[in-house]
Amino acid sequence: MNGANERQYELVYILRPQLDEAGINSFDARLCEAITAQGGHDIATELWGKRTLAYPIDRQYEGYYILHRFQMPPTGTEEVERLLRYSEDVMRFLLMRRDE
Amino acid sequence: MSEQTTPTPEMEEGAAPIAENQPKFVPPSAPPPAPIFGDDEDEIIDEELEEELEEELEEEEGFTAPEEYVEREGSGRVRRIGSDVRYEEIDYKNIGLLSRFLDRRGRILSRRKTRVSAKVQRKIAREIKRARQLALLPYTADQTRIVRKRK
Repeated sequence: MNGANERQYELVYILRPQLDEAGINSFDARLCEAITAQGGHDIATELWGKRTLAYPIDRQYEGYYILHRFQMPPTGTEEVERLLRYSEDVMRFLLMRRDE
Repeated sequence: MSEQTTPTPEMEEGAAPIAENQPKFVPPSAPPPAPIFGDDEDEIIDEELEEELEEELEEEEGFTAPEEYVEREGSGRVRRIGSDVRYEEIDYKNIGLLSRFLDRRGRILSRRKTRVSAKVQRKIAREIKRARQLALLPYTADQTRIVRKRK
């Protein structure tokens, strides 16, 4: 029942550069928890690290880029996006379906 | 209009020249004749102009592309920028590839220049726009200059 209704998602988000490592880890843990709570699993993580932005966002010139790939039923996107949208440390995010 | 409809005594004396100054009905000028030369010639003119503009921009503002952007070979016109692009490779994360499809100002190159198929061009444009949202690519060149100047 679960398997048929799941999609492959890809998520990239940018955290404010002032965050220290503990702050990044705790936010990422919170996000992964939310994904899992929505029925997501097989979360793969790619840490791009601190990158210079192509243009300033909120007077910031750098940002921490983090990428996740995971399986999740489509109903979960709302909650995941809500968390990203209302976190002040997230400057930008992109949540996309990545089906073969 | 108001200046012309309130005549003062002095103005009435020279009524004739004022009347002449009134806007006459001018027939809308005919659109400029369409260029007679063919598409090819048009394209060359346009490209030369744009290359000049790009050189000027480079000299004046000292804009240099970030090192991760792929350099174009030679100084001449670039031929078939996307000839070796595979559809699956086109991705918003592949900045090196996508940057080849931007001009110096950060604009997406037209299909006339890239010479790729419509399908590929659509995907390139889509992925460039995604990369822009994530600040991986600039919307305009001066955004990048602001970032670089600060360093």
